[in-house]
Amino acid sequence: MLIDKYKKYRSLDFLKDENFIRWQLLKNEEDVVHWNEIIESWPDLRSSIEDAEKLFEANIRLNEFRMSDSESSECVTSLIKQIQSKKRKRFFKHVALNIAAAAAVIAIIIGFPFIFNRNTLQQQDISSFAKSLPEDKEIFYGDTKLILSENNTINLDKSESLIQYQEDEIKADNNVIQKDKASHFNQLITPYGKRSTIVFEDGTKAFLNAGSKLVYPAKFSKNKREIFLDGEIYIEVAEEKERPFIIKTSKMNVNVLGTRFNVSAYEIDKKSTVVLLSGSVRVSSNNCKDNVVLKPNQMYTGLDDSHTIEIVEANRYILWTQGLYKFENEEFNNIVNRLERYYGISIDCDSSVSSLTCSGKLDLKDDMNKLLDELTQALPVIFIQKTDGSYYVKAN
Amino acid sequence: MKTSIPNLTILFTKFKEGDDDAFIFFYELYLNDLYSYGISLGCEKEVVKDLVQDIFIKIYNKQKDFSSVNHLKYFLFRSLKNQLYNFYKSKAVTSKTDISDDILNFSITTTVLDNIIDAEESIAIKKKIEDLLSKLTPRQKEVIYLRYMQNMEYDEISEIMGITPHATRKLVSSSLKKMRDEKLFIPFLFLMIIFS
Repeated sequence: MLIDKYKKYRSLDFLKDENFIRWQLLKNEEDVVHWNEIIESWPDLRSSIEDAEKLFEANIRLNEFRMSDSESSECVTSLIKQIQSKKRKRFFKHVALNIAAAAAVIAIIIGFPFIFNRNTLQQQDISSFAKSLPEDKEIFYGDTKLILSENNTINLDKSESLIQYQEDEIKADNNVIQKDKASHFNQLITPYGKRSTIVFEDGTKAFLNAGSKLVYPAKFSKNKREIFLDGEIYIEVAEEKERPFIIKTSKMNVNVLGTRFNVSAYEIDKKSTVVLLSGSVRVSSNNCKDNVVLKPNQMYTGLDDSHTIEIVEANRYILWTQGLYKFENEEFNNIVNRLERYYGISIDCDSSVSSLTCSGKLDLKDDMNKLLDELTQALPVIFIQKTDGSYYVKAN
Repeated sequence: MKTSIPNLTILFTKFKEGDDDAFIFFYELYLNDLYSYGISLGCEKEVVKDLVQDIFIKIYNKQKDFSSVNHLKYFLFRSLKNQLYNFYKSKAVTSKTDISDDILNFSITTTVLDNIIDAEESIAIKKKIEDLLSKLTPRQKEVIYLRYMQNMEYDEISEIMGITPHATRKLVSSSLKKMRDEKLFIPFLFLMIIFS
């Protein structure tokens, strides 16, 4: 009997059942009636069938052919050019449309010039600019650097710098620079062992963690605010309905619909994460075709082609901004990586200790040696400083 | 915090009024769907891209008297198919009296995403769906695609297919018959052979 077969099914098994597939694809009367009867007569099957329906809708695509982002942007640019050549009017009315949230639209529109004018067409996409920058591992050592143009780099030697973008000028610790001296895209590089805070013209505040690079326009465009990140930031976005705020990384885009969240997207890490404290953000991965809307206290983790979402205590993920680091069942190896970045030191981790899982809290404002001492007391490890100044940690 | 969703109705009104930004919005909105449809019909990428652009340029220069967003979408699909047909027909060297179907051949490529499904399961699911769909003719596949993936109404689909709504429903029901378990027939035939 068919029903005996169904009773043994997990939700996934339905997706391999011809009758189920046919029902989902055609939604024809006969099958709809048949399946409704099944659910009515055997109510304990309802939840697995409903889950199967959700799985089907979330995963099955027919003819999912899409152009890449660059291909579609080429098409749009080409269309705009063709139309412009026909237009006689010089003045283009533009409507500030908020394109932040439509699910079907988001993956196409991000990164496109939306205003009908020549300047926008010449403006380079921030991701392509960021990717065109020379790969220089050395920049993450030494001073914090504010790069305003090719020939204009400001070195900041404080361990925690403050950069503020105002209407006409840029303030960076003790420096004041006129804004017209800055080129379109600026970069803020926070090396290992340091942190910085940047306040944008619109009031958005971002805290950069050690080893992070932020590329952003000196002045946000009229219809969107976009920045490019390699590293980790905690950001409080000023709400502006007319201008969505988008954080791009090499692996994903985080589109801000709300205000406070943490993004960890170090280029060299395999994983990227977004933790939301309040408000709402949409994350779209550059690899998969899907995108996700996060709610507060949710963490998105992106790894290669897939992602997971879990509920977390969001506050824990921004303690670094206060110089604190709290972790639970974290691999020792990851903790060591964090310390390396934070202090700007090199710590070699022996395989005997790298997979130790630990829970606890560290005050990173402490003197580093004091902190390493604390770790030695709490865990069965020992830190040895080598002659070149780097460290080695192994089992005690 | 409030989220602001682009109001399609407002954008559509602006589009009809000739607003450039709204025009580009709808281009971006339907670009990939149209592209997908063109590729599914077996056409070349560049040809599809060019024709989609041509269609939009024509719309740009004309009065936009679409009754609804869905009407616009259906219009775009129908135009694309007609343009593609004309394009490839004029390229066809043959002089034999073809059925129009030979010029544009619809196929379906199944993708199983990996939201909570692991690789092994998704391969098995994909095979099952492909086996099931392989029983259908290109026209049957096209109807299912337009109905299921593009959410079009029967009367819209029938215009695109060049048949009556009644014929469209028949196409779906014949697809159904083909997708039913046909294992019942085999023992019947077996019996027939023994007794004949």
